[in-house]
Amino acid sequence: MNTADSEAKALIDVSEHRSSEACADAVWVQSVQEGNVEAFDQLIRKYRERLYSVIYNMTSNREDSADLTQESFIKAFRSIKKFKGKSSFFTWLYRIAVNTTITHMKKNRLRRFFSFENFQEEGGSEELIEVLAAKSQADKSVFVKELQERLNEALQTLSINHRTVVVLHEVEGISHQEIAKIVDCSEGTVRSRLHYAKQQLQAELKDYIS
Amino acid sequence: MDTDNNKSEAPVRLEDLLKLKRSEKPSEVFWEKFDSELRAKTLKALVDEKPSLFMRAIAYMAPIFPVAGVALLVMVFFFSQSQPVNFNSEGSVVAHVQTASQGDLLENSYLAFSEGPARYLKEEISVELGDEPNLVKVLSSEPIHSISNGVRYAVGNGLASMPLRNNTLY
Repeated sequence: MNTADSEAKALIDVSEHRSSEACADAVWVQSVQEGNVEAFDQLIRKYRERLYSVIYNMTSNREDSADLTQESFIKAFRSIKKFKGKSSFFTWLYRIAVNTTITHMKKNRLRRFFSFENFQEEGGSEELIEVLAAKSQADKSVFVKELQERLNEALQTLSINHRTVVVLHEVEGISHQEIAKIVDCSEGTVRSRLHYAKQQLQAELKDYIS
Repeated sequence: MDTDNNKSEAPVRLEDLLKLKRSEKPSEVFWEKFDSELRAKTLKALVDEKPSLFMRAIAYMAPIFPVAGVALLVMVFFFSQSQPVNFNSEGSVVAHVQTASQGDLLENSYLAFSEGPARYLKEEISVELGDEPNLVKVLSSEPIHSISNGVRYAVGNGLASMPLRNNTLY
């Protein structure tokens, strides 16, 4: 199976997973709407890491990301009674998180302080790090820090809209269709933004790409 | 050695680099602090309920309340000013009756003077009858008096009649 086929299969698997996830979420959401606050705790535990990841990769700042993630959950909690189920809870929640983050970034355009998360080597990342570190002939831990910094800098060269689609698709593995619902634009716009963003990033990260 | 060479020759794509960002994760300590902060904020959100539409409408219109209040006060002031009543320096009403016969005392007659419509006391005063019916001359300068219903009396610099309501001068 070539790379394109394996990626297509991965997206299909993700899509099927999302459908079953949406059904499970609907039960929790209904419980919250009926006044069960503990059910919202379950939704927080389920989505907090993913939401934080999206926001962190958009802002490259862990302190802001923690606050924005909490703010997104609070907004979702406050307006959950208005959630009618027209989209999945996942899409609705991500839309709140993305909009909250975009508003924050627009207000703080000049704030360019990067702070990094722990790099937990797991799965395929370990192998890739080994490859890259071997190429650079640098100490591995030093190399990882440098790579984190370069990736964050490269993402920050993109506009907010382009960065959003790259993070949602390439980092979080969300389909074009779902991204279109989250950012409220057409699928074509998502693909176009992604294409442009990847061209920019290719130029920024050419030292690491072979 | 061959394995190392193979690793260094493996192609690296942009997508691979971006996937590395999935490995950037906070520690458990971070999540414990995050959860406790979020719990506190969620409880606060429960307590700080959003005001009802009615209350929000009141809050929206609040800036015009002082203006409306001032307008109302001005109206009351001008209405009260339209009544021919003099005020002395203490702010109480003193009636000046121009005509009267000296020496007559009206029993159980009272004049009402008040700073506001609701204040009145019953007090006998010395009055004198004038030529016109029900005219009395006030001799007492006591600030507060009361008057019985239906008595017409002269006040101010000229003759004027004041209808009385509930034993109170308006």
